[in-house]
Amino acid sequence: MVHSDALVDTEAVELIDPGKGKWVHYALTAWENTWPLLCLFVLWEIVARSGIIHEALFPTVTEVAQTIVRIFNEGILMRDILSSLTRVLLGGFIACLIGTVFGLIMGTNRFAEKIIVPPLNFFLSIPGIATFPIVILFLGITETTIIVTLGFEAGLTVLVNTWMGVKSVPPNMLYAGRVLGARGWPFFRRVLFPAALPSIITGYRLGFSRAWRILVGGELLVSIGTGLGYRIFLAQDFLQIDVMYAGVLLIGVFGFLLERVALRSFEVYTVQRWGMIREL
Amino acid sequence: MTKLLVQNLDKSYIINEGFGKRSRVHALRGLNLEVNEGEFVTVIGPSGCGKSTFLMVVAGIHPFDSGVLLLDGRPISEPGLDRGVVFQDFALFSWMTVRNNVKFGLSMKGMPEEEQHRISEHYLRLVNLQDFADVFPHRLSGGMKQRVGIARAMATEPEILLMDEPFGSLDAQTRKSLQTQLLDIWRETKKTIVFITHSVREAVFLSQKVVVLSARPGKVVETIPINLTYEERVSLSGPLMEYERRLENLIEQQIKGDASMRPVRQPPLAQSPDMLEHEMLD
Repeated sequence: MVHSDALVDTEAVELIDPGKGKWVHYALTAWENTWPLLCLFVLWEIVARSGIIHEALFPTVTEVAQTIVRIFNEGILMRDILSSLTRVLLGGFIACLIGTVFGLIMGTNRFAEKIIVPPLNFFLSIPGIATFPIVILFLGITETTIIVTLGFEAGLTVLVNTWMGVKSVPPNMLYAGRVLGARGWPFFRRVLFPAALPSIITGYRLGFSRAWRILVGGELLVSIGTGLGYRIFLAQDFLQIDVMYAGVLLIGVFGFLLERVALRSFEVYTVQRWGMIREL
Repeated sequence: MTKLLVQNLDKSYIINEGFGKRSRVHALRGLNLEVNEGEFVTVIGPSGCGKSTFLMVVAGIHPFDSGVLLLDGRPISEPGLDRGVVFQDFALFSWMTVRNNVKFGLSMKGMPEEEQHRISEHYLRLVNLQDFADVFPHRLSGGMKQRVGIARAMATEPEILLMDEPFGSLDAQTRKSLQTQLLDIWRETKKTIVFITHSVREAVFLSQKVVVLSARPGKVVETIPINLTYEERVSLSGPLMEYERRLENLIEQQIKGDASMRPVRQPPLAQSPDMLEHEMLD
């Protein structure tokens, strides 16, 4: 039997990098991801020191960093960070779960699609911030209010992306699953979900970034007493400009970490390893 | 013994062009076909004649309008593990390794893990991919991908193997090699195979019976048994060429008969007698 296929000849594969070990790889990846940010901070420092903008309005990065250390030592910061993170992660996680399930159903069931699309578009155009006063009426000034509103908005984003992801799966892939006997839950879990995963992960990304946005507004409106957003607005009242900057900077840093560490790793481990998205 | 029986099969589908514009396409009309146990049958015809649609109907993926469709005497209404399908675009699960692709149908059956492993090993060897069991499909070449496709479809030991232009997207060399491999596999396993292709040579080379479909709506124009020995097939002998010529003529006639395949701009017909008659009547 003659085989003219490539890849059969193992001599053609040459190991060019024996691997420098896990930790070296992690350190390199961390550096790759942070240097553009560090450049931005250096630029900030230069602009702030140059005096183009009044120093009271635009503190340097080093000053903001000192402020972060100071309020951290005062003990408030850790509580703010933890409460904000809990809200985003909890709300975001619930949003991902519900958004994915309904998105998969919507992408496979004509009836479900027809029913869900109009309200979906209706709610998508309403900013979560606008619904806070109404949600407060029912749930009061509580954690639940923030988590529910945040989860609802992030969930809609996940839903849209999952739905579209499922709809763009090549039909033969789904037929292959069906002719091999996949029905119901195994079909969803082992065929539909992974087939739509590239788009679903994009949904999670956008969902979490929406969650962060709405969190800050929510912490202000609900005046819950803790959280990075709450701290920023409180600092505004007392004209603590460095604390305002510190809060904004930290939100950016945590958002960045969530995306680069958690979601990006998930992406590399799944769709990139499977060759479903290109590696650049 | 008849494995697959198709009588008077009608199939149409609706295409939605958007903004309220819909049309019904008659893909198959009055199609009759009989496939015997252990037989290798190819279905051939002009492009767009509904060959692939026919296969998807047999697979149970698309419903049909009317007619009789029986596998081993049982009516076909939905996909089932008694029919294995090989797709033109492979349709491998890119999120599963080669082995897990082959095991998929078995695990859906709820087979114990060791048995799944044993059977997948057997079929990976059959298509000579045992060394690539733990690789993800995107790393494979087109020919290797389709070998996984064949192993995956055969692993559940279906009653019939349905192949939809499986080598259509491969280069000529790989295609030739896979045709020979498939012929060998068929000789070894005596599986009943329905194979769709638009290549006359492929049809003659592989099958015992070639079914020629008409232009849309597809129905069987002629069924030609191919009486060739294995040696005559692999050596591309004179008799094989003879079959090829015959089939090519048949298909050409079908294309000519199909209005949609005619050139849009017709040459002037002033010389044609009926045209002249027309003028005289005016």
